[in-house]
Amino acid sequence: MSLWRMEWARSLRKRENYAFLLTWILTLVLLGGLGQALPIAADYTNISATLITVLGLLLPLFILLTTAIHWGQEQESKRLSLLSTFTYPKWKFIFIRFSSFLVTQVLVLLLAFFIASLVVGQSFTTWFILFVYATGLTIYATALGTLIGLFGRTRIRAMLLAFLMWVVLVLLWPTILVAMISWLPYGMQMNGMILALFVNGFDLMRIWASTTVSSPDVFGEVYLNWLNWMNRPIGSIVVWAILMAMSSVLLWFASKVAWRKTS
Amino acid sequence: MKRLLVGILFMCWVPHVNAEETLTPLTEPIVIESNEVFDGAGKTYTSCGHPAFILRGTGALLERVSVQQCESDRVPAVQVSGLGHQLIDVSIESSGTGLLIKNGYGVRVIRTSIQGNGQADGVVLLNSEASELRGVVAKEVRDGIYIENGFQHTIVRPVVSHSRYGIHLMFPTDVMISVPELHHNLTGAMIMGTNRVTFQNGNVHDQVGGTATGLMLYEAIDTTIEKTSIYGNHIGLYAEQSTGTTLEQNAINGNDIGFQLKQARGMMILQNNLLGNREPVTMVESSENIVQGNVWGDITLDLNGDGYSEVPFRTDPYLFLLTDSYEAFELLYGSPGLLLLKSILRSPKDVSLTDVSPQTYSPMWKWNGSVWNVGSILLLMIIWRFGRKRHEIV
Repeated sequence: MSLWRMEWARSLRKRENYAFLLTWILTLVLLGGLGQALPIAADYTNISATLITVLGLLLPLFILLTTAIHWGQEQESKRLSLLSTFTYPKWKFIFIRFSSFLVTQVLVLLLAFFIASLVVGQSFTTWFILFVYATGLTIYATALGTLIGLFGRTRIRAMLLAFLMWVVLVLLWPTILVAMISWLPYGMQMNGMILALFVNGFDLMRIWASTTVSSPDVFGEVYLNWLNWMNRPIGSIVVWAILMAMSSVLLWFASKVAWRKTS
Repeated sequence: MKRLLVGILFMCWVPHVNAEETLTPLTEPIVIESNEVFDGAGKTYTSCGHPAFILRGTGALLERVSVQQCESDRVPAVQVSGLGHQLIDVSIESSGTGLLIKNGYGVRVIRTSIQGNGQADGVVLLNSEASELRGVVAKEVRDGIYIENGFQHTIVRPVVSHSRYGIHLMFPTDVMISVPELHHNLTGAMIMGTNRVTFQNGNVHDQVGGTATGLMLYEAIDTTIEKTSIYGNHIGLYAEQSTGTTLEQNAINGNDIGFQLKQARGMMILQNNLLGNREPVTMVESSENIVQGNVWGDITLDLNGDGYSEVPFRTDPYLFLLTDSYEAFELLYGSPGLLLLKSILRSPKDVSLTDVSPQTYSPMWKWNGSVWNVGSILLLMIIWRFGRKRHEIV
């Protein structure tokens, strides 16, 4: 516990947290302000949709870069080799870093959401879903960034890999799906799209958040039954269990990489 | 004394709740001929296998009646044909069509309510002319108001909910619909094959189901939709193969897609507010439209301070084409990566819909803070402050 406490204190002292806090406050306040200019009081509008889009664009980039550079630096400064001399399991050490960073980011996000809610009037449910969505993105991005950072040997390589991963999983993802799914027979396209969600945790979170904050018909009739299921408590539990499983697998791979590099 | 008073009160109350006494079963329809008046004085008539009332001839009046149909009936509860009849304060619980007006002229229906079981329509006008429906309320029917052929109908303040189509027009001409309230239907209003339909001051919201469309125009000519609020639907307004449509001063907010246009030409889209839709407009083959002064919720820049942006709003057909050909790609709506795809699939100017001077809009902020909010912020700051403290092992 004292090691976790030490890591958390280190994580909280980092200056980039202030930049994150400012970015999230600005995003939420500026976009949320537009929502209040609407003549109707609908929970799910393009404001909440845009918040989901913008958070889905920026948050993975920030978190991937931060964690990847952090682990790249650990290797570059040989600190990881030093730590490997301790009689402490490496997976435990990686998990402590992961969880302390995650708790810090959740704290920053929570603070940003509370500050934004002072001047932006969204319903509690909308705020809550957006926050949970941001937390989900952070969990997945942190796990992925940890793996990338440990895979790249230096900071610059880790940064480039993280950026490349963000381009593929966020920026190019629809283009990749359009290019691949349109080759499938018509009857299999929907299944292909659903399957693709379980490859990309960022997209899975986006669909879950959009469906939960809006309604299951938000993506048209073809997905109605499937999203109805996702909208139920069991659906949400399964989605989150899958996200956690994907993140755990990434962390497990990360610990394997760390073990290989320090042995 | 107290028991006596309670007893008296109970005796006064009992006759009023016994509805069975006011039910009048009908073995055959009551036929109201020319210039006859039937005042039901609030009585309820039950009918099985035949209509409860038939109005025919000229100038008949049916007022203050309630009609209950047997569960499996497929015949209309009230049947009207002829000229200048009036139905006032009629309440119908039907399993078949509530009110059928066939080959009628100048029929007036005022404050009529129809409760169905979703199997048949509420009010049906077939081949009729100059009918006037005022304050019709229909719930749980197939189509709230169904009009086939005919012309010069006026519909004022209809309220239709929990049905398939709120209002369903098939090929009539010159129909005026004012102040409609259409909600929780599969489609608010289906306007098909019509000519000169005006829909104004309406409230079309929260339609349900996978299609959930506010207003649907198909092969409609010269339709005018103005000053109507359309919100909380999957698609606010869908227009296909419709020409000469005017959409003016409507508030189309909070829908998944505001406008969806397919082969809709010669339209005038003026001064509408489309803020807050996930996609304000998706379109294909819908150029040659006049689009001006709408609020789209996109980037605006007002240099001369006239309230209109110097940056035009432009929408591409790429998203429509994508989802129209491959429905599975609807899952991509709202994806951050669409920004890139949008640029890749950008279309030439002549096939895009462009508002050369969209209206500007400003965000609003107002104080929403509470003691709980401020307290939570302070608590988080304290956690951050104390969490930062050095806590090294050595």
